[in-house]
Amino acid sequence: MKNVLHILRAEKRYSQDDLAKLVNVSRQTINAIEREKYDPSLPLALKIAKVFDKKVEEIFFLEED
Amino acid sequence: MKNFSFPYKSIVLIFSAVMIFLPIFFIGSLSLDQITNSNPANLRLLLTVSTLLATIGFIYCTLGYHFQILRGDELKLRIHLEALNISFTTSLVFLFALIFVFVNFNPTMLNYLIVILAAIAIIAYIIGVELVKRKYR
Repeated sequence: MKNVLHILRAEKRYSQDDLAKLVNVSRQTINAIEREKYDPSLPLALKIAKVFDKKVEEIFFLEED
Repeated sequence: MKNFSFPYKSIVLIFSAVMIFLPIFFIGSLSLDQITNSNPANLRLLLTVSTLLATIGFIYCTLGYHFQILRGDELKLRIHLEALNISFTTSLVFLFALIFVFVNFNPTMLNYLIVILAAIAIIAYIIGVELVKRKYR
């Protein structure tokens, strides 16, 4: 699964650590999601979408999309 | 249970490890005469009390770490579950292989099968965690 998390994070000038604290996970989790090594759970994806005030599908999408 | 934080897990773990080996150290410190002349009930009591404390301690730590991982970070939970999967599969493979080898070549070793499997499972879990961590790094 692809995502634009690093772009959104850069726009908001959040560090990985800041975002991790906002969604209550470790910095390593945010790093793994950004590097597309790990697909977040639905609750975490919803939390991230809420932080950036976007829909989940605007942040996370399938490769063929 | 879900809201209980299981405090002092590391201390309990060390205490349990000491308790499980206490009878060995204690008996090792006695001379042969002291062992043969002492009441066997006393040694049995020492063994029972120390192993009971160790068992309670290990169960406490197992539950504590289990709930700590469940409540914690989701990537760590994923790593834990994948490592458990590796550990379980390795244990099963070794179980069948060891049964075959021991039954055919050394039946007395069957007495130690569970201990050997426990060691294999723990080692496989530790290696599994490192391998899975590398995948998500």
